[in-house]
Amino acid sequence: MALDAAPISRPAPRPLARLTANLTPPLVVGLAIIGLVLLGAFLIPALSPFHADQINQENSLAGPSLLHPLGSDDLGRDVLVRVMVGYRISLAVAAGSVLLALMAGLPLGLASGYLPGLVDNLIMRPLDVLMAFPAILLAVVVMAVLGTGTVVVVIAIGIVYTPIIARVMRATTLTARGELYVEAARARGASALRIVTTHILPNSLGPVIVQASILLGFAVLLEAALSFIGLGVRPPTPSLGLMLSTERDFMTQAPWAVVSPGGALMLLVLGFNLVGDGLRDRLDPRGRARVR
Amino acid sequence: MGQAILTRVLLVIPILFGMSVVVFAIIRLVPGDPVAAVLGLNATPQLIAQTRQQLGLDQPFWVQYLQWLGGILHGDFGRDYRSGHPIVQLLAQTLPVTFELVVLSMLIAVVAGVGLGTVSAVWRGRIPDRVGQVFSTLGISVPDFWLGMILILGLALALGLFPSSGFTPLTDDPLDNLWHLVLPALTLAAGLAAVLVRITRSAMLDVLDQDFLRAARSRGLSERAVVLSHGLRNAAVPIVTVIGMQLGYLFGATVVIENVFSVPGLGRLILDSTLAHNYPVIQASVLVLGAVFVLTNLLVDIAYTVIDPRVARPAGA
Amino acid sequence: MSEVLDIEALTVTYGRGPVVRALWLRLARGDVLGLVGESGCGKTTLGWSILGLLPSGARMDGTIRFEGADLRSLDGRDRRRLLGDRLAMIPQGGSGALDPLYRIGDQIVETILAHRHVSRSEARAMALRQLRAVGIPDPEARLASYPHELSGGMRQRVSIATALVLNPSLLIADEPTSALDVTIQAQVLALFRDLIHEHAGAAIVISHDLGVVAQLCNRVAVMYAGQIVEEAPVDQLFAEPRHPYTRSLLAAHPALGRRGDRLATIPGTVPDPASPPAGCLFRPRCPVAMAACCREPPWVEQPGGGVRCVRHAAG
Repeated sequence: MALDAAPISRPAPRPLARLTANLTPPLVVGLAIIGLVLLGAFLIPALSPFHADQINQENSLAGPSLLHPLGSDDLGRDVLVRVMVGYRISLAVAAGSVLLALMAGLPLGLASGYLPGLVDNLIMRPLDVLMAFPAILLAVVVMAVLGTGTVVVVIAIGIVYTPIIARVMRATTLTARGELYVEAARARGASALRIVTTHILPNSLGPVIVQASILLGFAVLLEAALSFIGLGVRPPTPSLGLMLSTERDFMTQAPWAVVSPGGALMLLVLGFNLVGDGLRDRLDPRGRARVR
Repeated sequence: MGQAILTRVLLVIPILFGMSVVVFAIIRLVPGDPVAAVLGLNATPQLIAQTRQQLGLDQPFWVQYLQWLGGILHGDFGRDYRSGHPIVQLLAQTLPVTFELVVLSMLIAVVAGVGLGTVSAVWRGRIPDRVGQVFSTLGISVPDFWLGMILILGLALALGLFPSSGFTPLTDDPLDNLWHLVLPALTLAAGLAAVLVRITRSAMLDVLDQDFLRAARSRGLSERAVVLSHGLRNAAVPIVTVIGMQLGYLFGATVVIENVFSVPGLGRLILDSTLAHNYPVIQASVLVLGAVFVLTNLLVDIAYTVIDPRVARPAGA
Repeated sequence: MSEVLDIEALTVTYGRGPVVRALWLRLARGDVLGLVGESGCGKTTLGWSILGLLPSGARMDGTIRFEGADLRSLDGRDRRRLLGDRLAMIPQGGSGALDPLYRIGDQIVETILAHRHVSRSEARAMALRQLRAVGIPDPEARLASYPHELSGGMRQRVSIATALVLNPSLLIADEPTSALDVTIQAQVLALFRDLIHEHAGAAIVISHDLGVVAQLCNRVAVMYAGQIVEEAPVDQLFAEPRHPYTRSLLAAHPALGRRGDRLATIPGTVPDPASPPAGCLFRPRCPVAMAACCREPPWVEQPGGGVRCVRHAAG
């Protein structure tokens, strides 16, 4: 075999092309769920005759009806509209926090993977400490310092997820760095910037996308849990977790006001998880159950 | 054997140290005057000044930190300025409750998750496998505090099978204690069990494909010995890894779940003190819960060496 | 002559097509049969199908009789009673045949206890005797070793010991020496030859290495694409190969090919099970193929065996 004829160049990973070519059932169902949630979150509050904060004491804790398909809460507000507006908060917080974690975690992971030794240690040891905290506990610590509110929740969850993203990025960078084509590029005298942008980043894209999609689902859960215990979004913002916490007192009289927001949460998280599973099968076959 | 364990133990020390720094930094990072926040609105300026001195806030950061850490190493977590009790008393009351809850959930999750996962792998593609897949997909997606509320609604309030909230100390009445912890433990266990179904199934499928398993069959061993003694034992390595990773979730979730079921544990203490801006108590309770998690995780890591002789007795040693 | 194994019209299908095609094979007591062929010709599948341990999704037709009993009609329990006892296997790549988490001794003892009503200490003594018989130094200590603590050669010896400990009437050894260094290979082969005669009633040695077969066996069956294309006593096969495929195999073997010649290779590849050529399966690669080869070649009985080739048919 002619060994020297083997091309030492980057195998072109084209995640997006492969993605469209391989729409697996979990991916399709997951995307459909997220699509429906997005559609509902933006259309239903706009089309409904009720406003999310519209109080109607006479209609307090009314069961599901044609007018209020999911019933009404203790203040007579329409549960369906509130759930849909709650979805907006969930999605915004999830997207914001994962974006934040990506913005912080990708450069950190890249630097520590590309510069082993001192830089790697300076970056990863503190991140190891953050990762040693259970996720909710770390979020609680951040909330204890910064107080509550939607923006603070985004920051808290972003901080919790930064080390996770950084680890994935560091691992893929380390792998790519050892590949023949990167060594060859270095031997040719390519600059670090060029190697990173043309060789390492494209190869890391798959695992990072998979991890981010899984984190989106968990960010939704984390925001809801924090808001539920009073350390998240502040009332009257209709977060799903906050709704569960107020309606909990009326659980026996009006189970619908508790069942719907929780079921809605579960549906959205299920959507993100299915997308994550589908993407992982395609883009990161080695990574398994790297969750929570 | 000693070598592998010792390395692991030594690795924990810097992590615990880092944790204490992060936790200590809380009180310094809070915008505004933490002493005023700790003492509440009715504190006189005189009392504030006095407390400030007691807390050592007039000294440099690292002196404060060393004093605080030194106290903790001697079992002195300081005083709760609201109630006047030593914080260590609060910890001693709440930690055992949380620990019992976590251990109970862990047992439930491992039995249910590993059991269903094994069944799924052995009956791959058949009905038990489908049940396992549906359970794990839903279990991973369900918000646990909501599941807790649904369990209260269904099993406690509608059917009256279990108490909906409250707690009896283990020493008072062990049976009633368990009785009160069933629902919170089930709630905590659901997510972990779901993850374990997945990892057990995939680990078992990997192992069932291995040459040595077919070789075990070729020696005429019973199907039970093949699947359990050889299959599951080999699958245990990845399963234990995941249990270690998920322990943190279990410990963290007590902050939320103890609130749902009014369990007077450490998670509840963390939440209450955070809501009340009671910083010394937040610091102590967060540090203890974090440290307990790190140490439990260490135990899980040591469990590897028991399961896998290749870790305990590397070839050539 | 008592029949140990009698395979009739065995066909095994999985994946893209038949892996074993209407195969007939008989083994008498005292026989040591070499089963040779390129990788992918179905020899390993044949071995596992005798044990009834094919991967799920495989389909099997035909009959396999072992000491007169129809193996395929046995239920799981009765089959397990045979496996590891009267019908034993040394799986390919011996090291992968041992569970990495159990001590060597425990794995042999476990096998003995599954079949014999003996105490644990008696079983241990049997295991010890067998480890000594396969030439493992310091067998007492090795009983307590884990597989990863032994060299490849030692692990292979452990596999051999485990398979022979209950004196099976039929031993199937799949590439018993291919994972070993050349020097160790010679040792293990010499030992194995003696042990087969001492401990096993009959044996099938699966190998792609004609040299191994020449040392261990008294009969040889050459497999190609799931069929046996030639069967003969070992000396006769080497002296006077009849099938063109057998000749190509011999020519491709470094030690057996004629000295001084360039080592021959067989052009082409094994046919795809999903779309085999019509007629003789070897026809596309055969150096002496002719028009008649497009029809199914008959099995031509010969003294001590037979050959599947039209060139040897009557006339």
